[in-house]
Amino acid sequence: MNANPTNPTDLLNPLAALISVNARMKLMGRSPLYPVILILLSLMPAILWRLVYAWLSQYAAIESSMIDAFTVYSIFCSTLFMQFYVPGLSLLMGMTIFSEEIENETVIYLLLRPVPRFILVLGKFLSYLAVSSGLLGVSLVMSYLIIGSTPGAGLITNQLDSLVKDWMVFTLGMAAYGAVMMLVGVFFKQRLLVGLLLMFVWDTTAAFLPGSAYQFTVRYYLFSIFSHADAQNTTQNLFDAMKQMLGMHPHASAFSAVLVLCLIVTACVALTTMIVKHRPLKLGQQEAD
Amino acid sequence: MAEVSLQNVSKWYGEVIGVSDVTTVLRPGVTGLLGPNGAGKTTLFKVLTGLMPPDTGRVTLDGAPIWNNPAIYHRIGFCPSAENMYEQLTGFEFLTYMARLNGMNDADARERAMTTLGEVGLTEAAHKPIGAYSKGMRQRVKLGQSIQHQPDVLYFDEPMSGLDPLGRIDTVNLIHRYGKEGKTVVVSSHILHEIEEMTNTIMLLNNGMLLAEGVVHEIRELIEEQPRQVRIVTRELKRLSNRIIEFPEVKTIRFGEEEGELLIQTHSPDSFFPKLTNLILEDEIPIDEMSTTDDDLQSVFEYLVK
Repeated sequence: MNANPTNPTDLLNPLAALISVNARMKLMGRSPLYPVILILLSLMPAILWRLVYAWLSQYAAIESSMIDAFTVYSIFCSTLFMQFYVPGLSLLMGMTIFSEEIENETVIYLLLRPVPRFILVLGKFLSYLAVSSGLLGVSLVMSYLIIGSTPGAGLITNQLDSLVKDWMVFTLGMAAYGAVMMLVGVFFKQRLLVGLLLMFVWDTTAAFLPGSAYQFTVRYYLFSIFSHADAQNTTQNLFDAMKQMLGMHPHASAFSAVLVLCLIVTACVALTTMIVKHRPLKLGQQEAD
Repeated sequence: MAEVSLQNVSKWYGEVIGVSDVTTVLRPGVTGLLGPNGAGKTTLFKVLTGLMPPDTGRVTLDGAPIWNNPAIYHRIGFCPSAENMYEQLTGFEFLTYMARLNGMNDADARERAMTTLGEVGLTEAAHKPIGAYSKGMRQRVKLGQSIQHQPDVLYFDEPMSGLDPLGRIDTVNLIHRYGKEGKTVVVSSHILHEIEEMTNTIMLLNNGMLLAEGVVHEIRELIEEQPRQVRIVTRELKRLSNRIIEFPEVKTIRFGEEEGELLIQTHSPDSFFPKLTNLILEDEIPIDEMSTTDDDLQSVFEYLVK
């Protein structure tokens, strides 16, 4: 006989199955080359940097002491990863976490199981987080190695703790952005448009609006916990200049920023659960038969 | 032994009726749910399985409400008619996944998946992606996910769709077996003889309304009792209609929209057709076309609605 998966101890099996099967489908679903292509694309800027650096050191006689590898890595993190990779990957993968199941009507097979709806949503969300965080982690480490192994610039082996911190911040960012996108995916019919507007219009321009609109963005809290204080002063100065340029407001404390990001995730997972629970098939099915 | 009760259940899609005021009790054994396409069979199944809430009324399984009550879903199995599946998973992976969602650990789920694949005749294709399955194989794997957790109540929405003759025999045997085991089984179809292969007890659904419940031979009698419509196209419309109208078997007669078209309703097709044949031969009336237009279930439903 079956276990009763509505008992808290028996929920682990369904949760583990949801995470493992969906992570595999997300990672390998379209093609086994899909994750490889995504990672290679994300590494292009780092590879390009290495090519430019090689060209400059050969023809422009740049001295290695002029460039600090960690500074370059920090710039990569604050621009490419924070501004594009984290929101972009969240948009790409987060939006379809549950909406794809509803659209394809495969959600029927999930809703027929004796599993609380919250576990269904949580399991799928965690599978997304595992995959996106893994992909981003590989991309981050490889970028770090590509930039850090620049000849003469010194391998940045003493900054491994910063690498881990960055990865954790990005994972938290993927969680918050992904949860918002998951909710957008099940709530709106024009989900891509809404997602793009939220991610690349609201999230970037709210900082320039008067009042405290900036506090209603994921970016504000994410930047509050993103710090490369160990980098050279030039990096810090560059960040400060960039923050001013981007209209960044004074940081929230790290504790409150993490708390708010966690609250965003919790609220979005709860709201998605409510939608899946109360109108799972209304989105896709309109026929009378 | 499970009993499913529906009390004044209705479901609408905006202004379109999905299911209208259905009250019935589903008991152990096989029940056929018969209705034309668009009758509301799939909607009824979705309400019965807790995939949708009824707008009004109440659906219970042994007294427990079904909507938003996942705790009892391990007692229900549903084979939907929708074609969409997880294309990238193999049949084995899909059934293992479903078994684990039913609460089994990985090892038990794998074992159960393999057993179920054997039951539905998919052992050889177990490790092929579902995306590469034929329509019949997909139907079998859908059947598998509905039975593998050994539920008390089983709903099959058009289970014969896409199956080859061997698959149909296997499915009929499977449904018979579950009925004999005392499970509550409901099978839908829009084809009467399909249902007849599986059960004698049927429910007739049309436009979301439960028109009748009973045994198959009663429905057969209804088909025999109802007026049969005959369509004739002839170049001598007036002469033929003047003669036919004298037949006592004729209930109504009217001209159709097409040129030379005559539409006749008869209560007694058995005596009407020989008379008509004699008339045509004796009076040498040229007939271009002749057909009965409603020798199907749709006319039974329309007749019952009237």
